[in-house]
Amino acid sequence: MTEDSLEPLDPELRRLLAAEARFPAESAATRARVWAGVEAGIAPTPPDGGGGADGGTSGATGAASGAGTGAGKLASVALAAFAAGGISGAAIYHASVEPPEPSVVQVPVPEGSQLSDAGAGADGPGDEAAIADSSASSDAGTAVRRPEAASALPERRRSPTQPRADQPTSEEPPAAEADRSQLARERAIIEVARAGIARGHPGSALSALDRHAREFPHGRLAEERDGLRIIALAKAGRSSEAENEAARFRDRYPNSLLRPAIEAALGSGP
Amino acid sequence: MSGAAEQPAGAVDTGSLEEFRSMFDAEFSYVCRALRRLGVRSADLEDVAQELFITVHAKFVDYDRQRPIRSWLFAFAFRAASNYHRLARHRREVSGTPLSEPPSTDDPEGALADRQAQQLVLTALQSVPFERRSVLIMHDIDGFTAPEVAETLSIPVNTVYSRVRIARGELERALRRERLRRGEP
Repeated sequence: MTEDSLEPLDPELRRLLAAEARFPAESAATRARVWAGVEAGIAPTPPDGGGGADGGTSGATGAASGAGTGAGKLASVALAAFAAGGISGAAIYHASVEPPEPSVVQVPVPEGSQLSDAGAGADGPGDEAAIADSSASSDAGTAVRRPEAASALPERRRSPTQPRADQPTSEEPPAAEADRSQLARERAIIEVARAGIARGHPGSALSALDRHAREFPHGRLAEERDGLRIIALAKAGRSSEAENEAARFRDRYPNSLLRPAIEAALGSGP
Repeated sequence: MSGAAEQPAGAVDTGSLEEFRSMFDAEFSYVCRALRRLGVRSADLEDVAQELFITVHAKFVDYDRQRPIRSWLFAFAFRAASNYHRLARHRREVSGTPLSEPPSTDDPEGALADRQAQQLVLTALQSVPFERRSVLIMHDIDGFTAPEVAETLSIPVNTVYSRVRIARGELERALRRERLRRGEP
């Protein structure tokens, strides 16, 4: 059987599906909130008493204890269990507050399939770190929907985990520290550009991107800069410039993850 | 993209975090849209999306950049929604879930029409059984080929074709029912 054996989609159905696909899904504020929660969730756990110290159980529990209220909490717990459990089917489910739901059963899928990537959970500490101690994730008004969270949002880019008091502190080589400092400065400028695009101010985004190009012509975030520039140009109605830069971008970064967003911006225009 | 420099244990690789952030910004709306179509309710969407991306981050290093990112992400959305529905309280999927506020537009009538279409399609989609709905979404809405759908969902290609055919009929009947319910022609 081939694609040709499928009847063409009914025109009215096609029209409805196209209209549904056109409607923008989520606001920039929603995206920012979710990102704050993701960032907190992927931050490395502290060495003492962290969620990852004793395996997937703690990871799932940590996620559960930090989860939001009501349905969101149960959804978070189930998903933490799914992420921690692994393809072996050893999902461990703890409800820290409410009576336990039936265990989330891992559905075995063939190795090497994309579903197995999506469902395969723990390879060990990586997943515990990924699930993390999501109780350490609150920042009023901005971050995750986890009102029980007690501690402040960890720093966005974590320095090496805090050394114990009884261990000698290690110093980073000056070159590594300078590298991180430059990346922080680059990132700050790129964030300004992203915010400009998100708020419908492509002009301010382009100004920020020009500044990045001047200060960091070969910076680590050059790809993000170049991609955002195309999107900002498209949003500003400078279509031919956007198209020209997109052609160069495709040659320079053929496997860039930004390509779908760039193509979408070129298609939708200002 | 820059490779990951060696960093002390426990530190976040800020270069790859930037790449992940770029991907997140680019694909967040797509993932949310997929989760909605797969039946995750609005009230739960942020939590489910957040946990999904945390899981995606854990597997990001394994992502094969030769593959379309969206088919890879859809696999995560499929699994997340599948687990979401397993929870008893989510099994009764609610139709007519309020949608987020649309952005301002120069064409409010067109935007309203699109919003109504979105509501109609999302409600009707929930009548299509989950396994067939997933195939329909990937093939007829997201535009993936049948082999891509088959690879993502780990099913034979012929199964994709048969599920698409059946799901289209189910969706059309659900749309008619929903329109009748709303008093639309």
